[in-house]
Amino acid sequence: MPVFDGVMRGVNGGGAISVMTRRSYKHFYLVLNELFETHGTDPGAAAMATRDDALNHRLQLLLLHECAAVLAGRYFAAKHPRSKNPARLFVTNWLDRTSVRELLEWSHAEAARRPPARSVSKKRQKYAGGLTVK
Amino acid sequence: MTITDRKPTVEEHRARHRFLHDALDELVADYLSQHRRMLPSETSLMALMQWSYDQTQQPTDP
Repeated sequence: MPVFDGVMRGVNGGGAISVMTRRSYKHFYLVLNELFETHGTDPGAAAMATRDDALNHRLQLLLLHECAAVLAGRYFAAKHPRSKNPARLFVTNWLDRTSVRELLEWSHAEAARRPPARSVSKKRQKYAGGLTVK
Repeated sequence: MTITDRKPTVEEHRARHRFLHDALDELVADYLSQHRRMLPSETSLMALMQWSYDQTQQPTDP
């Protein structure tokens, strides 16, 4: 798993966050399967309950890395909305210039953001509230 | 956590961001606990990504 694969997945994730997470999870579970194969454990639901602490720790690290990388990619996409399929060098240079604090602030805002208020058409306002609309 | 093909609702989108943000929070806390003199404002995303990837390959301290 190259270092920036997760970031690039986030960058190229398009508009729907579900698409990017499905891709990243597919990748995550591929790695998971590899790990279980290495450890001789069947990669199924039962295997998730493994008591191998070192394995669990590594899986947790993979998940955290994937989440942070994808978030960084999504932040890049938000900052450069017109940059489609950017060169990896451009993204890595941006990663060098951008601080963790910036990503934390953006991520926090995204997680806390209120859904946009629903706009109500003048026609609906008129019928709902008996308002006079010109 | 279920992952579907349809476009997420605003609330689902926000829940996903909360999950990702929690993961980022935890990762940054781990990074800072191992780099006591670093601040988030002084740490580049490149440094965090590189360290995080190295951790997936060879964890320092379970």
